[in-house]
Amino acid sequence: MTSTQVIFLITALVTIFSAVMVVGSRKLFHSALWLILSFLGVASSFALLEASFFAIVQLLVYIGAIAILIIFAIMLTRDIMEDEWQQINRSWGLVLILVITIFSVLLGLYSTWSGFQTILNPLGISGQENILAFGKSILAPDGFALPFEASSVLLLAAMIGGIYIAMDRKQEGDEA
Amino acid sequence: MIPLSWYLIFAALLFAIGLFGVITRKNSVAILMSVELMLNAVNINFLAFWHYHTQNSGLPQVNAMVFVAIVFIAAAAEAAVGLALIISVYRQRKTVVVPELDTLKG
Amino acid sequence: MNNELITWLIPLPPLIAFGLIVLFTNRSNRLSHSLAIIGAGLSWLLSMVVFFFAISANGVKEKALISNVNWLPTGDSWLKIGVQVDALTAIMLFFVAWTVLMIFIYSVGYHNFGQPKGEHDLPGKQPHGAFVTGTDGKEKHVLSIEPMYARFFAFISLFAFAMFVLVVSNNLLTLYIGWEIMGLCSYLLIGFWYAKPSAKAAAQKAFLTTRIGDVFMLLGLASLYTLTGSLQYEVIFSEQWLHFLTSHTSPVFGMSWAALIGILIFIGTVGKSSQFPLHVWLPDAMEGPTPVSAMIHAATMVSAGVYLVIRFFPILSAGYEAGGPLTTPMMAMAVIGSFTALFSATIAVAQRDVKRVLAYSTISQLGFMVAALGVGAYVAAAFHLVTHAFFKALLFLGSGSIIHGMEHGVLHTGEHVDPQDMFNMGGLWKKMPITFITFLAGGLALSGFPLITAGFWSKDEILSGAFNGGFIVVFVVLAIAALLTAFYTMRQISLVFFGKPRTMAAAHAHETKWTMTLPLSVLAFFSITAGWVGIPEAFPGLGGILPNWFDSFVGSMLHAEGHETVHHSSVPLITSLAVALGGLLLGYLVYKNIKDTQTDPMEWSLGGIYKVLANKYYIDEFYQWAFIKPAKWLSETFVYRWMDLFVIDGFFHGIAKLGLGLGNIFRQWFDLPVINRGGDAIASGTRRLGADLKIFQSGRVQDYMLLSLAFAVVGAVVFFVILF
Repeated sequence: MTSTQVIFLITALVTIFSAVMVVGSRKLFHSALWLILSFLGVASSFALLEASFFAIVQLLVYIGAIAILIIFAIMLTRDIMEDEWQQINRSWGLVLILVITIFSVLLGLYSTWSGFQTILNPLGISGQENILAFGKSILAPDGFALPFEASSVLLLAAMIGGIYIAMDRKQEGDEA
Repeated sequence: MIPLSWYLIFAALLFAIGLFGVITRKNSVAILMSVELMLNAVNINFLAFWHYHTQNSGLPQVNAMVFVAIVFIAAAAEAAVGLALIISVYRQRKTVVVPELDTLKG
Repeated sequence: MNNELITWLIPLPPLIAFGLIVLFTNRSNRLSHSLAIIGAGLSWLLSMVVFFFAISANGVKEKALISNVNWLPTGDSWLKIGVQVDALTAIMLFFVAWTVLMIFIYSVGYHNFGQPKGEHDLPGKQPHGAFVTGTDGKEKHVLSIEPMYARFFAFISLFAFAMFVLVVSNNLLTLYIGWEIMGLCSYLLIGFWYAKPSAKAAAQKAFLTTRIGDVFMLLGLASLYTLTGSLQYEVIFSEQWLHFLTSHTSPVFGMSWAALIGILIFIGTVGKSSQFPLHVWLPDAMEGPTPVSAMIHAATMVSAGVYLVIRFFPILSAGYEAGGPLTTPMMAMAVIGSFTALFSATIAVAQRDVKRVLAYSTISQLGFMVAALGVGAYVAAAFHLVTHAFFKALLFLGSGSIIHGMEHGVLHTGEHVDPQDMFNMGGLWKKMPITFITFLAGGLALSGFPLITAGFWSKDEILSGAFNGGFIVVFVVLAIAALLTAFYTMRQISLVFFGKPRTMAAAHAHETKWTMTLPLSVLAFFSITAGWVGIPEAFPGLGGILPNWFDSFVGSMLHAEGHETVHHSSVPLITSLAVALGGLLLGYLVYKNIKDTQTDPMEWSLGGIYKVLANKYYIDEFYQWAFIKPAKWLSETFVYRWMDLFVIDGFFHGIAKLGLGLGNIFRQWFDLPVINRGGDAIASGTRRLGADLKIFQSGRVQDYMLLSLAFAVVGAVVFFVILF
């Protein structure tokens, strides 16, 4: 067991544990905090995979924006739910069985693939080269410029949509 | 040094937990959190395969990276809109508990 | 216009009159009787033309006048109908035409033409009399006009048509047609006053009784047609066929065909001419108006029966030689005829109704004719037929006149007596002189008063024929019957005309109109003179002065055999004189001074036998018990109640019940549970299924997600694990 594997195992365990706590936690705010921890674990997993850029992006976007947003939403809808009573639906047993089945199916499918057991070695390419290639591709017209622009439009639409949906109608202001 | 299978199993597990949370949790915001978990699992999966392919071919695989970027973007957008919706629903029906939002009931 | 055409036209005028009256002139009484009398008059004229031709030198003595037309194609030959005038036809035409015309004229007065309508008179009932205010201001009750006047004339026109058809026909088919139409008309006319129950019953009785005879007659005609292939007289009475019929044996009792057919035809006459045992209809037929009685029972219908056997004489007498044994039909005729003659004469003695006496007298005289034919006295039978028609029609019309006079008296005095009962009459010779004289002439003719009446000559012929042929039994029986005939005739005349009126009604009777007395006079003339054409040569004194024209004329009918009645002895002559005069005297003595309206002196003298005679030997009662009651039982109980109601209706009710039951079963066991409840079950099942499935529609998104995921997993498992 090399050190990398150990680190990976610890990271994985932490992430899994916090994910379980997200789902199973009684208090909603605790779920949000456990979510942040799982995001962290995922970021370190990205780092282990030598996708350094995306590890940083994960921290910035997920933890810095999305998690904060979630906490905002929890705060704004705070006084409705009592934190004590049952957070889980009645049919969780069935769902558990289902999820386990799905997991098993997935693994079964994976295991039929020949490359399943390959060892991931450190890449010979530096991180900077990866970023460069990535940057070039998302701006290249014969590359991924179009999806890039489309995703910008998506963000714009999401922004406008979000504002519009959440606007307080009681004020008589015109929407944008 | 880490086998690909570990990453894949890890991602699958995370995905399964997220799936469990989506179907099981009553609070809408909790569901959204579980969805973010699932998306993260997907990202891990993508990046594991990126590494695998880059390792195999020796060239940086741009496709995977772009895909992961798009997933990030989509997750962000969806989280924003989703939360806006939750706020709006909260205003209308004074609840965010999904089982109570059963106007589809026939 | 040759004589064949005239003969064809003879039956037509009354038929046209019938049609016109029925269709057009029903409302007008004057027009109807004018049409009828014109019709009868035309037929009379044509008949006289043909008659005078027939008796002329080139007439029908040698060869009959025959005319045929092809009528019905039958295979390779034709069924022909036609007319024939021979000697027999000629004399029939003579008396039928005269009597029919006289009766038509008489009917005008009989049905009170010109009288006012009665207040209570309805069609179907006898007229009851009307009230008029007389010249002195008092209300008088007078005779009223018959409500169904035109109908009567229509029917008697049809009747006349039928008789003429029968007389002029030369084949059995048209003879049968005329025969049956007469049967129909007798039914219509006897039941003329159809609201009277006794008239209705009498009409049915007449029709049914004659029908029995007609059935046998039809059997005879059918067998004759089958054997000979033709219905024409000149064929069936030809030598060759007569020989055939006598030599071949029929399957019945071993009789020859001629005998069998003769018996069958004779049975038809027994019915139509009212011989024993089918005589029961004739007295009851007095329910009809008197002209009908005259027509049916004197001039036409009963004469048709005797005409039939006279016509069929060649077959009836086939194989008979003068002096030899009688053939079976002739024996039957002799027995039945003489028995009937005596039998009904005895009944006539005890009757009180003026028309009943005449009815039984008719039966008796027909028996005379049938017996005469039975012993082979062909000419005598034909002679008596002619003279009888005249004097019997006269007597009937006279009785109608008497009844009219009595009815006038009844209405005038308001007495409720039966105008037809002879014991309520008396002394009418003063009140109704013309009726008296004519009635006397007819009565004397009936009795056979010597020399001046026609009846004497014809009756004498019959008695001679019987005696000279050696048939002593028949002779004696007929002689006794003649005695009784004279007795009851004088009884009738004395009761009605002589002595003093026994009731107020009789005292107030008066003579009837000229339309009634004129025919009486004409017929009286014939009753007296008609006999003088048949005076036999062997008659002491008068014989030979006038040639026996009748004998030679009618005798020509029997060309081959030439049955001349030869008069050998004077026993029959003396006997007939004795019985006629003796009977008349006896009747006069017993009945000249009857004062009592109730009792008949014969009651006292005959004792218990009187009751039997008055009740007609209880034969009607016997027939009622032996035939009518079983027939009624058969139809009411057996056929109606058992077979019809129980079996046939029961069968159908059973089918109906079965149908109902089946329907019910289907309803209860199939329709309701399976179809109704099945349909309901489908509906409620669907609803329940829906209600059960509604659980899935919880409205909660997570449940939907769970479901879709579960199915996706299941599908994936199936896909990957099982299929691969």
